[in-house]
Amino acid sequence: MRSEIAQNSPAEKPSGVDPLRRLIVGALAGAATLAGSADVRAEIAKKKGAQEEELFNAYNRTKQFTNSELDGTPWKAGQLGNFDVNDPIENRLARLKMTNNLIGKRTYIPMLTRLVIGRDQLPGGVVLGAAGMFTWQLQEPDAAEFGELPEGTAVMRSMFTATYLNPETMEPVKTLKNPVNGKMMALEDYAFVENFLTFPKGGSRFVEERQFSDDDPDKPKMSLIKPWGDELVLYAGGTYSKPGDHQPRFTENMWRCKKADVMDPNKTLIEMSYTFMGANKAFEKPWMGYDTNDNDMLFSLAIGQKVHRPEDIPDFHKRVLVENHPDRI
Amino acid sequence: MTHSRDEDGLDPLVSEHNALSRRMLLAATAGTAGAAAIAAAGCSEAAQSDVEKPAEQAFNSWERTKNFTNGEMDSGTPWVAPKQGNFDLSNAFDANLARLKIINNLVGERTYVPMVLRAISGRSEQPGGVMYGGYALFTWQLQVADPKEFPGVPEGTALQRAQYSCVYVDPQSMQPVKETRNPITGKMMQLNDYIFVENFLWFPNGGVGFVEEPEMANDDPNAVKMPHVRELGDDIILTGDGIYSNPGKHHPRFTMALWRASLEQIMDSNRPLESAYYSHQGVSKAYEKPWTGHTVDEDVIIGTLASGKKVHSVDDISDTHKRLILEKYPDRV
Repeated sequence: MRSEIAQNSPAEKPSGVDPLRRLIVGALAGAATLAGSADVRAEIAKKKGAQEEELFNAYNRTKQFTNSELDGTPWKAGQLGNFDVNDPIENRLARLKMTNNLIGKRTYIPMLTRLVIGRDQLPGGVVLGAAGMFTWQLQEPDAAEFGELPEGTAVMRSMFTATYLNPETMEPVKTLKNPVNGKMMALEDYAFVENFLTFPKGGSRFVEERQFSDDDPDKPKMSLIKPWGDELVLYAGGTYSKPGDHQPRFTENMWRCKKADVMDPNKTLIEMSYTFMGANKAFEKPWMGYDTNDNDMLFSLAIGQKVHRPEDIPDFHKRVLVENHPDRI
Repeated sequence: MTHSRDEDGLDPLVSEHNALSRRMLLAATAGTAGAAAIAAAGCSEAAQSDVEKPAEQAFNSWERTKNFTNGEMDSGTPWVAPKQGNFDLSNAFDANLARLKIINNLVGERTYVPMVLRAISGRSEQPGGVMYGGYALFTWQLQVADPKEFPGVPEGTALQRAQYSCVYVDPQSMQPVKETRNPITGKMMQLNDYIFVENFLWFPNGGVGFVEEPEMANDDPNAVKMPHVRELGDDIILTGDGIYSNPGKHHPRFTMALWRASLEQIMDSNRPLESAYYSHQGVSKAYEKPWTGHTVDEDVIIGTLASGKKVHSVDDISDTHKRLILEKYPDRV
């Protein structure tokens, strides 16, 4: 989950790409063509390549597990309730119970999403709907795969799958006109897999994308879990920490559970309501008709619920999503 | 200020710096919240135009009217629907009633939507950060639309009187504070409450009119427009989107809302006051809240995510909201 995203420190000047320097490099590129200097062109190409390497695009994520990664030893917690959410160890367990489960079962989070294009100076538009789903499995981490980790660390095998829908009907279509740029979009399902390490004292590591989350495994880190009426709310989100043309890039998640359910050790598979907000550049979905020079942004809002059995996934998601991606169960 | 803790564990250190005179000088929040509840989906007409041009005027939601001053919430005739359940969701008239039952009620009672929120800033090329948290409340009353105030609206139109009230808090603790640090500028921001009132017209065939800001919703009162209501498992889902349609520096500016309720409860005509789950995303420029320190010429945006629940009794509003909002703004009941 992109829920524990690195945040830049207040007023910290981000390192890495300097936009002014980039403009200068861009201007140099034009000059180099005129000058015809091979050395200058080579230097510019080198710099340009370095910049492109830094440009994040979630579209390039690995789409599937291929080595039976979901079949590892399920992770089970030593404590199932009565958490002190002000204690890092128990705060982490409460978080995992709210978002997942502590008894080694599979977790599914089917969701519905709306997507809007936003752009500078001009109105955007509702561009897509989506049926999405997380499939999660907490496991004991294998030292051969992840190295030495504190005892009690869990690895979360994560699969995300989404099929895009006509936003008017919220039914699947193969092609759709982008109402903002007028281009026909050949809709592609969005599927990727990820691995997260959650450390016993609350820190986490996004294995494939450490720029999102890469905490010290031994350092205590509290999730923001707050009571609200008879519920607990888990807030998690932030901004992608590296500069680049992929900015603005941020997410926010909220997870709500009945506090009594979270605290009851005899209730192991509890209900949870999920909402998500995401923002990124539209070029991250190339089939939408944008490239990296376009500034248009894609914003997402999703709501979902947590279930633990395939039969509890809504029939709609079974029809439009699971039937086409049976490995997601 | 008091320092006793309420049942939600909050230290109600209510900010004391929200003098109206100062608020008037300061800019707005993601003031898209109200419209999010409502507007029908689709790309704005302006977005589809080939001749669209940026506007000179930059919209700022901070300038919205803050209070009703003529007893509008209580003076009108409560609107009661002709049908309370068993809706045909493929029929625009019925789907509109289902929509109003999901987000409001059909029996003329008050509706409250308390919510929690967090806001994230974003900008070109560089990372943004978590800006602030908040506790907010919609207070809604459906009334019969008075033809003197709203001439020409079709019979059966419901007028929604809406109050929005939000107290911002520290985003890392969700505790009330007077100020918090802007993650982009590094400067302290003095948090200012965001309150406003607005009026919406719900037309019987599914269209919507946002009285004060037709740029967000301005449907033909008589046209048939299908609300986006669908079944999902045991639930019924309502989607609503609003894109601000005038060009200008306020863009990107839009709202999205997703509502989820029990299908069985919404369809049961004997269950008039049911709960619903609310989720909202609003995006606007940061300058709309000048107390963030950002100006109209900056490209910094703020995305706000809210999660709430619809209730119909003050008793069902959390102590946190009572302490932070209702004690301070008693007219919001």
